Amino acid sequence: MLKIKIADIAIAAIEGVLVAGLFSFWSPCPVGEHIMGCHWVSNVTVALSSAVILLSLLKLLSGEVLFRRGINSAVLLISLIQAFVPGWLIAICAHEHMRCHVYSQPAVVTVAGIVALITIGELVLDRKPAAV
Amino acid sequence: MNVKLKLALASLKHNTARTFYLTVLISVICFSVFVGETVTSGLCGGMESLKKRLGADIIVIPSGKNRQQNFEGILLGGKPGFFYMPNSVLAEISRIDGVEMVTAQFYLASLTADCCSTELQIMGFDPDSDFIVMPWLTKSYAKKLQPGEVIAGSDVFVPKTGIIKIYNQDIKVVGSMDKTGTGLDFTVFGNTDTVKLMLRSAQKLGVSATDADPDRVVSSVMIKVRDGFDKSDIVNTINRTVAGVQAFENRDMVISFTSRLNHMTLMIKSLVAFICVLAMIMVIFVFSVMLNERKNEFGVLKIMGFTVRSLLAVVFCELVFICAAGSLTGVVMAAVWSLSFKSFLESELGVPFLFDGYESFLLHAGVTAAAGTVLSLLLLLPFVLKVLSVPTDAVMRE
Repeated sequence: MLKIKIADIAIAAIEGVLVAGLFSFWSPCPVGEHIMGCHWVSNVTVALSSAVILLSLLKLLSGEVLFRRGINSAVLLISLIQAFVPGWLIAICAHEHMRCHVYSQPAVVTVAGIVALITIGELVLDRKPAAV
Repeated sequence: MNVKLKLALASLKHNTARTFYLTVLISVICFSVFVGETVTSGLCGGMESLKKRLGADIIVIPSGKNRQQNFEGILLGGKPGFFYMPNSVLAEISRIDGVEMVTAQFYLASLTADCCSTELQIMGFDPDSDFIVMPWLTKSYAKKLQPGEVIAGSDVFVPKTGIIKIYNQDIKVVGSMDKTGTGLDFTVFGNTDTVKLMLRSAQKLGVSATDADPDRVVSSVMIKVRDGFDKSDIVNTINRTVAGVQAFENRDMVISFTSRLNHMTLMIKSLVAFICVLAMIMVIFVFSVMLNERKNEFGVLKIMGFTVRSLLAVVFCELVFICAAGSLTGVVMAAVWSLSFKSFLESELGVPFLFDGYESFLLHAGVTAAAGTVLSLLLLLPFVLKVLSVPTDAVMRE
């Protein structure tokens, strides 16, 4: 149970770093005269990350296996969608060497991948009902 | 379904934690091998591409602090820049004994425009004397470039209209080059008249960093040395006799980058080897502990009539599932990761980096997944044979 809680806190922390990064060191291209696609990618990613953080914190409140499995399934789905937001679901800048290609997209894909992996691990391992 | 296969699947399903940890460990091995291979092959591809593009024996640029780094930045790092020297040096250099061919190039950097554009490097060459750019540029555009026409590097953003505006001049892009993995991917190539036109326009707009007359300056001079002459002697002669310039051999630049490349690939390979060895030790440890725990299970199955051969088939099926799932997961994750880090690697490594084509990338992925599966099986099978060869009565006595 402690391992699961550590995993939940880790997910929330990693997504927190992504949100902070998208506003600072992993920020997409600056908004000028035109608002580019990467700006909307960043906004959508922040929204999805916030949802994952909330769900992970909510999971800490309950020891119920089915509740945890439900939330884990949701987190897995959200993180998979998140990985495909930059460049697939929403187009980013055309130039391959702009900030959104070099920093934002890899950061989002890496964080979403790590969260998905941790969640798959939780789904596989967290099968026994919690001790009452 | 075959009983052995059923038993193997039931065992995998029942022991989810064991299956999960072994799969994760094998995917870590495949992930690091594939990422390491992708990065090192990208570095080697970039260096090969650079060697192909450097056609001159000697390069002459204006003397000055950090000028050579500026030149390397233009050519290799995609960092736009410019510098000029009087065009009279061209005549002085061509008079030196041993110089077979000589051609001048003209560099200019554009300003950053709005959406989806960055600074561009503009490279002008003289079509009448050029022997460097034309041989590989003609693959993209066979006709002679007219004033106002350019060929764009692979990473230059070209609008659908095919017209790019540089210093208020409409420039027509007539072709795009293949990717080289060097700074040339961010460069547009035109004849010297086109580049001089842009420089005059920049001077009129008051945004040019130089007020030099475009007809009286050049940026660099490329030299081909006649056979039988020593290149370093000619470099020394130019540095001694021509004022205000510095000459160096192309080979020196390649050697410097090859040495950096070798250090980088060695570091990457060592890191990959370290991760692989660590993960292999973990796999062997987890697997042997797991097999020892299952000695009793194997003993009971033997009493029920399973032969060593059929037990081996059951464990082999389990291992095939685990190794194949681990290898595939690792390679897929590595492929997604490498593709999303492609731009980061290309722009941040500071050395030429040419990513493999998608066909070769997929082929590498397939080979790594297959090799990962087979090697993991070969690594673990001896432990299975050792445990299964223990006599049943010895197991039951324990």
